[in-house]
Amino acid sequence: MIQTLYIEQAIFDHPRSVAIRQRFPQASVVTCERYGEVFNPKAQNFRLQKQQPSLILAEKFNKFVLEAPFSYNIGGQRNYYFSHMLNCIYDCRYCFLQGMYRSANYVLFVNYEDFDTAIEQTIKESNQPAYFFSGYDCDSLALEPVTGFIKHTLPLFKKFDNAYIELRTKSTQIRSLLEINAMQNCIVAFSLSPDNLAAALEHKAPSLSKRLDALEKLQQTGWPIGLRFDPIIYCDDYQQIYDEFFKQVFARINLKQLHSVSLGTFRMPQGFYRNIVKLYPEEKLFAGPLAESQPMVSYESELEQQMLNFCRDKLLELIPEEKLFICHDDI
Amino acid sequence: MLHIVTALPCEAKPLIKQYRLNGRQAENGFRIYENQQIRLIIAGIGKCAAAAACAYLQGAEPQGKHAWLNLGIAGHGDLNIGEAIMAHKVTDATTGKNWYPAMPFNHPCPTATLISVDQPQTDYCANTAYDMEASGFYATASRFNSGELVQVFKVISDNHANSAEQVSAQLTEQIIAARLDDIDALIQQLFKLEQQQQMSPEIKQFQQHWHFSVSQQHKLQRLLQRWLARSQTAIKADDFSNKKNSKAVLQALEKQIIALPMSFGDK
Repeated sequence: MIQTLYIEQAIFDHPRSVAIRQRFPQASVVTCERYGEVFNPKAQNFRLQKQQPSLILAEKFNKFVLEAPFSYNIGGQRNYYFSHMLNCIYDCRYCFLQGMYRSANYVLFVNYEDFDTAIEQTIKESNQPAYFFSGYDCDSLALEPVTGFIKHTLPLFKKFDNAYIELRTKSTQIRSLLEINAMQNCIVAFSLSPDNLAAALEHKAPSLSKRLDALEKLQQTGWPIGLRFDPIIYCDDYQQIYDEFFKQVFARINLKQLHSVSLGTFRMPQGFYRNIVKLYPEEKLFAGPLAESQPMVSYESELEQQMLNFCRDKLLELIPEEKLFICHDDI
Repeated sequence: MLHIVTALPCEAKPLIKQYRLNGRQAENGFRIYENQQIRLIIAGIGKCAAAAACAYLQGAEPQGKHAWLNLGIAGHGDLNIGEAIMAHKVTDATTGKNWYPAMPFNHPCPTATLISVDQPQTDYCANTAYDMEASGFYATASRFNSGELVQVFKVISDNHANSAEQVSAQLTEQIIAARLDDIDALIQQLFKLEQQQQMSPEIKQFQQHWHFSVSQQHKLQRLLQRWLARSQTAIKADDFSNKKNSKAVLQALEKQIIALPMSFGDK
């Protein structure tokens, strides 16, 4: 799976680096001073690298926990995110990471304890329940068998009843969660799309039915579930497709276990969008009715509103309003 | 097109034979051999020569997006004569600067750190190869294309037991010829990657019929991409032959794209 492991010299002998080296004994091991030497150079092509990404092991020194935009909230006033990893093993064509990073290599920060300290401090300083999002720059669970980050971090959240963590995923790597008792302050949020859109746009990700199977297992063992219908993608028959899709999903959902549902249409900062179009000019998603000249590229405003209204109305037939959150980005 | 940079004629000779590369008429500065897919330049020894050779090739076609390969011999602390490596890290011994060639494909041989030095090396560190060109090559070629398409392949010619002074032209030719299978596997990988960068050819048809300003060319390119993405069929410039000017072509094209179906496969 991993052919090349880049490791910062300073953490070469860190126990997690050693364990990961042992996990990939065939990989070429290359040392570097700082991960940015490998990850940041301009002369890189995300699309070509995505065909066989390498893993970079690094140490993070600051900005462990950052404030998340309020428009992404799932019921909390204080929202934060952290990224123990950069990049994702899946290859979703709508993902902003392709436009944000020059490299498709995965970066894993191995100093988990420093994340713990920052999270704990943030919780203690917050006068309201704090919500932490772990799946912003990566999928929260997809590489869990290699990183063990969630297994390491969840016990921290057991100590606090005023802190919530959202694990956002398309993965079926749920073993580490099934091995422990469900935590009511840990929301496992599945990003879902209709079958045909998932097949066309969410490359390398598990199918919708596999994600729903994983979701159901977690639900049955008491984990709070989140559903993330973001991005909603336009196609000529989107109303029929999303209507059937919502029914298909909610046939598997126990509303008592459902923490939240969020909804958003496809949108992307213009700079990222332009980078991605250069990488994938033949992609149908980018040939749709998009307003490309806006600072935040999205569907033309009337269409966007129609799509949101339609999906919101359909969802409100299935769930109470207080569980639905609409995501949007304002620039 | 793949650009291959070698330092010496004896490094180039097996490739010239294998790929039937024809020598160009004498040019100032460099000897160049080529066929339809490969252009090989004999740079001479050293980082500066390698950098100059890269610039010379690119300068002949400044807009070109080519794959690049530095191929030659190197010393190594542990490996036997005739073994091959690809460089996963290139270090310039003088400046300490590093490059990390990304290899998003199965490499045909082991990889190693390669240090580019100014003089032939007699002390070899473990697990490290030494040459005299790669850092100059990489620093220059990676200005012209992304790192995945800029690779360094070396065959070991000297080690602790056999010093660099003993390396002859005949030996060099022999050990490189013995690695032609690995070299060809790498070249095929580079061709595959390079093909993924090529742009749609339809734009040239349109440019032959109408004059497009630079900003109109960008718009045209994007419209043709959108057309192809939505229709999955090529478009012909002749279909717009009744349009008087480029502005009318762009408007008509955009209108046709909007009318195309927008769907994503079966439900």
